[in-house]
Amino acid sequence: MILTLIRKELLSHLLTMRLAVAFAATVGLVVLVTWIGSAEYSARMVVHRNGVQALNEELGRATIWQQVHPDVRLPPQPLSVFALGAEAWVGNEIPVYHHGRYEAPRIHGNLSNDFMKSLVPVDVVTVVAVVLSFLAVALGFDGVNGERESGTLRQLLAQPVRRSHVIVAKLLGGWLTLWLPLTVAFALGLLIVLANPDYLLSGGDVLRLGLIFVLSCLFLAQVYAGSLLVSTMVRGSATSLVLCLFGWLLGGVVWMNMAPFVGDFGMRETPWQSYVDRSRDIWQNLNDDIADWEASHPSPGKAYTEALRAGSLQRFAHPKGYEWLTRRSYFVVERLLQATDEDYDARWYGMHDERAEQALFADRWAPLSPWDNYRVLTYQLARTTIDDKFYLAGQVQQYRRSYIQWLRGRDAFGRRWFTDDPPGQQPMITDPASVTEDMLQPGAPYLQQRLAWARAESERINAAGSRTLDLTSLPPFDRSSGYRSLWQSVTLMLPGLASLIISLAIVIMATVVRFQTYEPHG
Amino acid sequence: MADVAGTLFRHQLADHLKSLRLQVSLIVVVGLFAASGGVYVYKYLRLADLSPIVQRDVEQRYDVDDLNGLVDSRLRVLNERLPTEFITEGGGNWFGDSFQFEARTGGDFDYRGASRSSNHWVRRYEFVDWTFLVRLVVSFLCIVLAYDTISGGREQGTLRLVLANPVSRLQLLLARTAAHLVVVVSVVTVGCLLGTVILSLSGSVPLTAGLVSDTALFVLGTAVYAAMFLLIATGVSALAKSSAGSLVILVLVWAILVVVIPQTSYLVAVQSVEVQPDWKRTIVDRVWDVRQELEQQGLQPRDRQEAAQDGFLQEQRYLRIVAHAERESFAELQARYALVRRQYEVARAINMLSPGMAFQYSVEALLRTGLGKYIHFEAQARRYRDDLRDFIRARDAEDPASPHLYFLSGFLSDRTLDPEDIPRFREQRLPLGRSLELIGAPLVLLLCETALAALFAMWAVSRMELSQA
Repeated sequence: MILTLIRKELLSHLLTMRLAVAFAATVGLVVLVTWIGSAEYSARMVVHRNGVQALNEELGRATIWQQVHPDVRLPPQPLSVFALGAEAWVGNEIPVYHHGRYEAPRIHGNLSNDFMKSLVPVDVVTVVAVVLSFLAVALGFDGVNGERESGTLRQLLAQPVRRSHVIVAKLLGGWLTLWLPLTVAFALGLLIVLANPDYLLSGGDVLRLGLIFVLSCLFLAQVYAGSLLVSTMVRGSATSLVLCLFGWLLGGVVWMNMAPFVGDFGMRETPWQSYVDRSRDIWQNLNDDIADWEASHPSPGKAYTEALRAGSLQRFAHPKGYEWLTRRSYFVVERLLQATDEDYDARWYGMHDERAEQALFADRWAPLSPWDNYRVLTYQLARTTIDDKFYLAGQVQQYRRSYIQWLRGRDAFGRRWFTDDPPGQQPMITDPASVTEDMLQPGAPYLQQRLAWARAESERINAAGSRTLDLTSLPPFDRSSGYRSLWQSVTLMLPGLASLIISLAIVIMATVVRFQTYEPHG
Repeated sequence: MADVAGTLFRHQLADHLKSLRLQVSLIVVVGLFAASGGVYVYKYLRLADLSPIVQRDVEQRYDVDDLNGLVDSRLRVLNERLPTEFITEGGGNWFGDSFQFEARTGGDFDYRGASRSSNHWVRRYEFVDWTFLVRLVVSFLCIVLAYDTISGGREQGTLRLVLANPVSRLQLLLARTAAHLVVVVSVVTVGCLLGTVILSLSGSVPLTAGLVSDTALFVLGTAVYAAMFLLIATGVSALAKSSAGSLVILVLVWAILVVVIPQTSYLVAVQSVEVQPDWKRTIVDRVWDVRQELEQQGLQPRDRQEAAQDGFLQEQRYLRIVAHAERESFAELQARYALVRRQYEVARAINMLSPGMAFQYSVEALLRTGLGKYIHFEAQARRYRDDLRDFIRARDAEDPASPHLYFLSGFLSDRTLDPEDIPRFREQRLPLGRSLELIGAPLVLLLCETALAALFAMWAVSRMELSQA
């Protein structure tokens, strides 16, 4: 009997205009979103691959330790096509070098266009959250009181059917109707991304995508059940539609914008400029300390330290100059590492922890709105929340610490930090004692001649390519550690899942209970 | 006839005032305006905290000894944050709000992102300003109020009776729509007043004549937008078989027009216009590369006294080459920037298909903010650099001892310069005429759409059935 009831409900939904329009809108939008999302993904994949290649080439060319920066560059998250999250504006690249520490990956790509930041990019999950949930409301708002108004409910209940069967059939009928366009949309979306040769979905990702689909089903079930509950509690279907739609509007579209708006501005924030001022002081102190060190450890003279400089690389200084430069280098690098830590603390404790809190605010309060809760849960599964980006940055910072220890172990901060000259290298100025200051003025013929020699020699060395560093023992970043495991993701999702499941259970029970005493007469 | 129309108007008003719909809507709309106002108070407080610190930073860049110091100083040009951001944010939060440049030849001209307010980690969202509330909530409210204007009367059998009086269908439409409009505009006005009270009591926004006129323009725009939705709702109500059917159709139309269309604009814009990441960096690097190459060849500025001996020949050559590189790279920067803007303009164009966004952009045009303000600001920033260079040239000309090499640091007048004499950047507010010229198209679109809605409603009402089939 219940199967007949379910079939009746299904048919009554399937043959409506509302379903047809919403089905078309959903499928159309999801196809558009996935197609463009897939193209975006490919573009970002190309940027990523080029970036990795460029990085490897740079690392392969490095001849001094200062030139080495084993940046972490991870490919875009495949599931970001379905659940874009923070990947819309934050990338997966974090530089690793001695004088920089980062709280989050770089802002990337299209959002280097400031104008576009005023628009909101959309993904499959948002289409479901907005359009399909709208359909859920449109199907459920008159599920009970509509039938009462048209008189069919009275006829149905006059038959020997249990009320609980009727209402459960309504629930199931509505859910199945909603899950139909959802399934079609997901299937089409999946086909579109799989047709993209750049797209790599691992086993873990497939599982997560499956869970996203299940979450979508539960979310739609929640919204539909909520509408049906309103339908049992309000006499007129017009009134229940207005209430449900206002609820959809406020809990959905308005909340999804209000929550980050409150997070961004409703919270106190230390002005960025005050960090800029403090940072300037920190680096000024660094320069002062270096100047102090140089004053108490005088250089042997310009003639000894004069060298060919190309970026951070120095070549052909005098051995005695190198001695001094090496001692200076040890001091400077350690002091630089210290200043980097100070700068990071000034940034983080001075203001970035406040900003991180602002960014996390909307995600933390999402469980209060079914729409936002659903989106955030899917982002957590897809590992595209801003929290996941902070997690990645945290892992990279640990890696950076281990990298610096590794550098210390190789005595990297000394001579090889700034020059690749072997100990026996002929200097540019072979007899510094005989050189006067005038001869070393920029543009002076002696210096120009020596520089010309140095350039030619340098080109020869570069062509031979024998001075590159051996980086084979450089510990690589463990890519799998950059992202949370499924278990870790689920742990993060617990509050949202609890909110979803508990509220769904309560709404279903309330609907069933209410319907037991529902008056079917008009 | 007019008498009857007046009575119809008053009856509709009275109906509304008694209805649950209106009472709920009033609470929701006014509550949202108040909540938005509250958040803006915080935002303005924060900007107020930030402003003196930022100003200090801007000022200290002018703290130089002479013209040589001035050309080397990295100056900062900021735009004005309008107090009316709570009405329409107009991109104030995301569009770049400052430029940094050096006046010397080969100096950088950097398009900065929004430096004073944006937290780049927060999820992308739409600002909950007044235009957002009107665009989304008030349009919805219009549908809720007007979906059964005709169909309700038809279902109850009163429509035929009403039209039995000496009143035309058109007058009925006019009277009822006018009543709806009065109610909606009143609700919005109450919300605006409450929001304004909250903001001005907290000292965040000064109550000036400008603010009052901007608010009036906003309410005017809202009235046009609301009229559009009310007319569409009444038209559909006239044609639909039942009130419930009318409501469903209207909400579907609303969802597509107001919610769905704007969602697609980002996608399409991003696909149709490609913006290179690091579009700024690669150009700046170019001038740097030229200078590095010249230095490698030994062609670089020498000591001033030494260079004076041969009349600064080397420096003049250096300057010519670098100035040429600067001109080329600046032209390319402009071109790339135009491309960046075009991507946004494509998104805007698609957005305008949605009446909600046409309304939003119209308010931005009327309040002289949005893209127009940014374009105006960028032009002024570029002009300021030119003006500053003119000032330097003029000042330098007064000193006969100067080598007059424009604009090479170390080769300009070293007479003491009083920082007070240096012209500062003062942003001129975008004039209304220019604003409309730049971004006024949506206003025309909005008015046309409303006119179309009126035609639709008139047509629908003229052919409607007077009683239930």
